[in-house]
Amino acid sequence: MSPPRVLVIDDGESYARVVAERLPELTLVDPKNGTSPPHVEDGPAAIHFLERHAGKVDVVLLDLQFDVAPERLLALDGESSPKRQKRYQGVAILREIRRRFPSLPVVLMTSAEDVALVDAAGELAAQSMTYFLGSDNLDTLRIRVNAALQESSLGLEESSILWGSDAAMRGVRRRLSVLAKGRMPILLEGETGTGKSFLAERFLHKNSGRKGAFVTLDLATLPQDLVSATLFGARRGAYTGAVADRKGVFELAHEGTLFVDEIQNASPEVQKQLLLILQDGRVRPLGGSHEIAVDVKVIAASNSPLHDAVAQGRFRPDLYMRLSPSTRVRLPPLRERPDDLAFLVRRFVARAADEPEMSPLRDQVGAAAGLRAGADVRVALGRAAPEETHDALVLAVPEPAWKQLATHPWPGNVREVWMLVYNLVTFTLVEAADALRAGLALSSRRLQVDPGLVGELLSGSASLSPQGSVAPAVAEEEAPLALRLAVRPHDSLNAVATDVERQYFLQLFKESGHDFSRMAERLLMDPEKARAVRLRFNQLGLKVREITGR
Amino acid sequence: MTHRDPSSAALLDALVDLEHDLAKYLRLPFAFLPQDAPPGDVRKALHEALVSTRRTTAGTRSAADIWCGFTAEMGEFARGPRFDALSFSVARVLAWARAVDDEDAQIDRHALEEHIADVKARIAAWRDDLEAR
Repeated sequence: MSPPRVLVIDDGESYARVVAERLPELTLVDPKNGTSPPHVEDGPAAIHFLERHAGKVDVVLLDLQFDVAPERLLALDGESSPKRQKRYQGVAILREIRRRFPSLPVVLMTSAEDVALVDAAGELAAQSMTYFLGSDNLDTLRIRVNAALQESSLGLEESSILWGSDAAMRGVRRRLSVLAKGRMPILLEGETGTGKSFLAERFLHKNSGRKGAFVTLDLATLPQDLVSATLFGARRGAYTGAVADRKGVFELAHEGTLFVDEIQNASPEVQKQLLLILQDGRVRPLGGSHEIAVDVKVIAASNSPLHDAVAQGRFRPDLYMRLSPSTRVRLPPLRERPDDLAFLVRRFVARAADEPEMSPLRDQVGAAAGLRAGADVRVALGRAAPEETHDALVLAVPEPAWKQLATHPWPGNVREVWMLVYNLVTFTLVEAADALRAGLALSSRRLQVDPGLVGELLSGSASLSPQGSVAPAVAEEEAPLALRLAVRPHDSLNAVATDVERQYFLQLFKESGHDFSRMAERLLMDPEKARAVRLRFNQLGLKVREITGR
Repeated sequence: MTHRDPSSAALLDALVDLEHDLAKYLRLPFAFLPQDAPPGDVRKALHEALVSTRRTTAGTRSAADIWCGFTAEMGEFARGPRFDALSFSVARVLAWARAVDDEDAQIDRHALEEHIADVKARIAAWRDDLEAR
């Protein structure tokens, strides 16, 4: 492994010399400006260098005071004298690095107390990837650099898991890394949409080193009379309808992982049986004559604190203790890590545009804008620095719409962001494609996102409380729509459901006189939400022109 | 709100700079030097601390340059017991210069680092004094 690469930003050469002479395990990045030992001497030069070579830098060591010409200073704030700007220049440089390169680790070569009087310093100190040296000595410097490198190696994104830069999520990442390798059960707590099942499979099981399968047991959908057979398995003839041997989930997950979803919903009977298996590590299939030893790592998930269920007498304390409360990990809801929203939106826009059903639309619009097939789709959020359009389509979310997104409580958490972004991308591309079909040309590669669309898409969950309960609403009774639906055999239940929904939309569209406002009134009790209905209409593959013949 | 007379504000400013340019850079070569560093490395650190104390694109300034710059800038205004104490402390550190080129001279690193720490302590005490006024 090559040594970590350090960029020193210092008006003098002291810190570069320390690295060169005392930390042979690090390599100094050479900005090729003639300095020896190599370093960058001021903020503008550092930002200029990083803009071109950030990928070549693993960690930055940043001095605090810079005795450089006034024109080489980055602004600290509007009121500081030139002298103060020099004294705390490291804070101004740090702020610029955090803004432009949020995942680049920086060690500021001073103590947090030394910059306590600078307004921005406290906020910067709390950000991830930011370290203060504290005291000048070699061991401390080595520890800080290693901590920064370690945190950096975690990455904001990993095998499609979007950790983000929030300190709490990075803490979760670290904790799960350790717990994944152990034999103890793990209890994941988090609201709906925080990614419990995703992390259980893609991270915990993947990093567990276990050879067996990942098996999911969803207690919300398990019929009571199938509990024992599902958990323990059954031999042929064990009960009416048991026409063949059936393995239970513990046997299926032998030497692997069993993910028990919604464990807070487990009935007393299920709780009792789970407890027995966790205690003994053995199962006896129904109708079987002997027990089978099972080696299973159990990951249980709950969308509310399981401890509360114990306190209310709905959950067995002995099972709770077996699930090891010491390995309980809480996944923070999105509203507790608002700084990750922009990161998630950016990633999801790119992901949505690459979805197989979306890419033809993307390529159609992209081609009209002079882009090659498969070009990126990016997003510009509010007043943030505009995205480059030379090689990509850019969805421009206006400031008011971005504010709406940023202040939304996101009761459905990350899943809700994904769904919203997916719809936003779809509808924006559909509108652009409609315009092209109508003979209009695209004036630029920036596609303006309609703020009204954002509001409509958000309104679906705005009435939900963060915990997922539906706020009381009074809806007028509608006359039911008489439907005749044809259910054809499909590959999956999802395909059947989509087909049924498509038929429903088609029939409703016809009954509403091809009027999306009337459909919206019918479906959402709000004619103003015609756009959302049309969006879904398009997603279902229905085409107005084909239906109306116009 | 307290108002400081302009001259004491300028002195305070000069002391903040002195703490950074002199006290910090006297200390730095030793701060990152392992405790068991051989005498040659200690001598090299002493050279760095006293002779090439502050090296920037503007050039190299020695500890003596930095101290004399401060006394020249502050002139008579700075004179007084605080100045005398700091002056003594700085002179004591500068006196170690004789060991830079004399390879036979023994360098008591512990004593040297104490002398250097004293410079910082005296600047800080003077600053506190001014800030309390």
